[in-house]
Amino acid sequence: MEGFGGDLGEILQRISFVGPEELKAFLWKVILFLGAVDLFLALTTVVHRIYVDRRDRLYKRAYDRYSDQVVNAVIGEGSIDPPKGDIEKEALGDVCLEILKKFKGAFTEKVRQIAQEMGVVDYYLRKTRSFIVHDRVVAYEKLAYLKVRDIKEKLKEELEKEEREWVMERLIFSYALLAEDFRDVEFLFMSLERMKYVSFKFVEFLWFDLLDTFSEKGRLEEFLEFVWEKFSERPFFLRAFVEALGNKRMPSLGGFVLRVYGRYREDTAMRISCVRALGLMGFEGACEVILENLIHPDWRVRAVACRFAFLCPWERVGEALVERLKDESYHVRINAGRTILYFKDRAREVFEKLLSSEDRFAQDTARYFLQELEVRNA
Amino acid sequence: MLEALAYFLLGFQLLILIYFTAVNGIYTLFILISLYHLYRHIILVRREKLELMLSNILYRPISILVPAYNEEETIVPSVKSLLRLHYPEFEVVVISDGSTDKTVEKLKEAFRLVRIEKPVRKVLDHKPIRDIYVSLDHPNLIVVDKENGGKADALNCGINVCSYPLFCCIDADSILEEEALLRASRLFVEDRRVIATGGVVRALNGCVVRHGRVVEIKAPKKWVEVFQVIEYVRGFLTGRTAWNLFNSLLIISGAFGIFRKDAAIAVGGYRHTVGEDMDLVVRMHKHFGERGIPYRIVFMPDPICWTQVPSDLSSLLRQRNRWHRGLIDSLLYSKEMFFNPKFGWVGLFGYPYFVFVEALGPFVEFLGYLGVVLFYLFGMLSRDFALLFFLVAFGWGVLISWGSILLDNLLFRRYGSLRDILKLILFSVFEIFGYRQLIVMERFVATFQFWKRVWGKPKRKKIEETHAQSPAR
Repeated sequence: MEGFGGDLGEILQRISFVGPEELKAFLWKVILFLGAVDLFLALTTVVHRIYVDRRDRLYKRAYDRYSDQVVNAVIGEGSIDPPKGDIEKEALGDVCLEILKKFKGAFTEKVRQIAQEMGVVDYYLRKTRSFIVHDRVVAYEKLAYLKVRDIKEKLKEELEKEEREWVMERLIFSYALLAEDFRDVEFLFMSLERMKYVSFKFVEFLWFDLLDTFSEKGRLEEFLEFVWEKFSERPFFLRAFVEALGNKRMPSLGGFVLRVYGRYREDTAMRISCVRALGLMGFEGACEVILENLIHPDWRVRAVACRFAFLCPWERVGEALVERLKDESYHVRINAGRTILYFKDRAREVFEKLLSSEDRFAQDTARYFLQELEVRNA
Repeated sequence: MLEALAYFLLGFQLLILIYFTAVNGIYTLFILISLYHLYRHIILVRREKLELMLSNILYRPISILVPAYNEEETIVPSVKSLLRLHYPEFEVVVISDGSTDKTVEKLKEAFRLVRIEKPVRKVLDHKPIRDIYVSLDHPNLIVVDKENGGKADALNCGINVCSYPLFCCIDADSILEEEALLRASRLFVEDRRVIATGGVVRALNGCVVRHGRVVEIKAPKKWVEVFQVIEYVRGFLTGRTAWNLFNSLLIISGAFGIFRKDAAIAVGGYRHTVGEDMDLVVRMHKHFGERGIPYRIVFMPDPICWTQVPSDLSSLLRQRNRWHRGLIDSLLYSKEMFFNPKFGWVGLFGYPYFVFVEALGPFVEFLGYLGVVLFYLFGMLSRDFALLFFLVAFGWGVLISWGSILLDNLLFRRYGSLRDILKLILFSVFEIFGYRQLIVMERFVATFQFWKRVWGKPKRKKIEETHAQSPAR
């Protein structure tokens, strides 16, 4: 405490808990410790960064190389370098998965064969034994995309004993990709029912994949019958199925949707899903349903019906659509306006009349839509 | 007399030493806690392909509230980026809070807005609405033009107008990452006790933005901005993650937070204060704690929101002054929580921490600096000890900053180049000389101005200009 004035310094020394030299020695130790930790942190940051950058570079290089090689190999114009190490296997696996997700057809078998021969499948199989649950889940997903059906039993076992919902959800997703028969479908939905919360959209995705599987097998009709038999009294799953049918955009599936519509006329949510599905698939027999729903008391139903009213001829739907331009819901009005645009000449007539309407919204909307018609006609 | 002075000096030194050790110790502990928790969290989402996430979609519909006051420079790209979010069902509600510039006109032009007569149930009080518009191109975009009443007033109006059970408030000059809502909203369906979540807010300055999306992440060039990048990394990743553990998160940034609408209405919505974001969260803790209703307020480390930080010193100081006033006002308003066991961890630990470290911190720190100056002037400063103490403070400060940067780099790797990382490392060292003291001084001044309601809006840059200012390498 040499900086303090003489007397005060002495008193301070006397009443202090530790002597100045001991304190100095302690502070030096602390400084050295902090310096060492700081150096360690800075070095770790830099070294880690260099390491991951290098890993990413290797992965990207391998990914680019395999993107070309796999495509060439599939069309029979080249060979593939066997992957060296896990990074290259990961890259080759991701290339194969990208192709399998984007394309369908005979050559997907060839891609799967490549993944098998190049050790990618073995690599993921090894990962399903990892003690890190995330690695296991991802490995199952990738193997499911590669249609490695040998893992199905193991996956089933894992799913049966799993309690964590996020893990269950992803295992179910993988299992759906591997489903082969109706027993698998039943098992899937039994597992889903074990979960406390199931997302509607998730179920819709599952149905979508299952529809793919059974239509590839040529068993679509049989599958539709199975769904009706098992799920016609389970509206949550059935509605998700209807949405999935709509997204398949296959008009031939419209009959099934009409059947559901007939059974669940009182259920507003189901009504919306059915109208949307019929509209999305462009089902010819949808007109009656659309006309009926253009005057439904729930605005959400009217809005969806307006959106797909272009499936009806103007003579049948025109008047109702113009009426909907005065709807209490602005969503309905906008959808009606946009659909009227499909009927070009009729649309001009309608919107020009609306320009002199007392309804401010109708005027503004008509002005915008007339401009849009100009652009479209140009 | 001399003996009394000696005791006073010793007591003063001890106070500063204890405070210094406690604060830095807590920060260091937070880094370790965050490392453990973030690692567990990240391992679940790391390398997860977006399409897989979408296939595992869990959501509840969300209304995005964007309060805007004279934001003509930034509002259109901001809304465009919001409309592009990956989320199955959402609406964007822009509330022009009596803007005197062309905010509403620009929106009308860009999104073909049409005036509607939407009935609004006035559950929360706010200034009168002039007009409500809906977009013909995006029926999920609603624009409210109302009389000026401040940010809290605009948000209350937005809560009344919006239709969905969750709302997300976001600043008009911020950009959300495309999957941010998906990630953040999962919590609301996974755990029904969750009433609010907040994500990480990062500095947009220096990044390359194209079509309302951050396409390249770079450290900014101006020193004021770089220092703030370091502060944001430190504050969000370590501080808030650690508070999660104790359900004691008292701040969800106004730039990006998701709330359950019924919970916000139950506490009376936003209060007219300069720190309305923190205030709402503190009152939620108080409301639910008092009534013994199980609840959780959670910080999520991966949904990212990019926001413009002040790029000049005077704007920065005004902002920090406002933050500090807001902090004190919010704490005073809910003072019943102070060391109150009824509120659990948040009453016994979270709230007192904010009082002693965040609210009174600048005061104690200022006393420390003042002490050094006075002791020096009166010849009572031991240069050896002062130097040693300074080295300890320096080493520890650097440890906390570098620890946070390492954590960010290990788990998120947001900054694209090694050069940027080195820049952050280097600036963490400089931060301790001058910048930190400046901020402490401003907060110290703000301590004595906490009753002021002045906002001090910082200057905004046009978001697209960020690209022009930071050309891609």
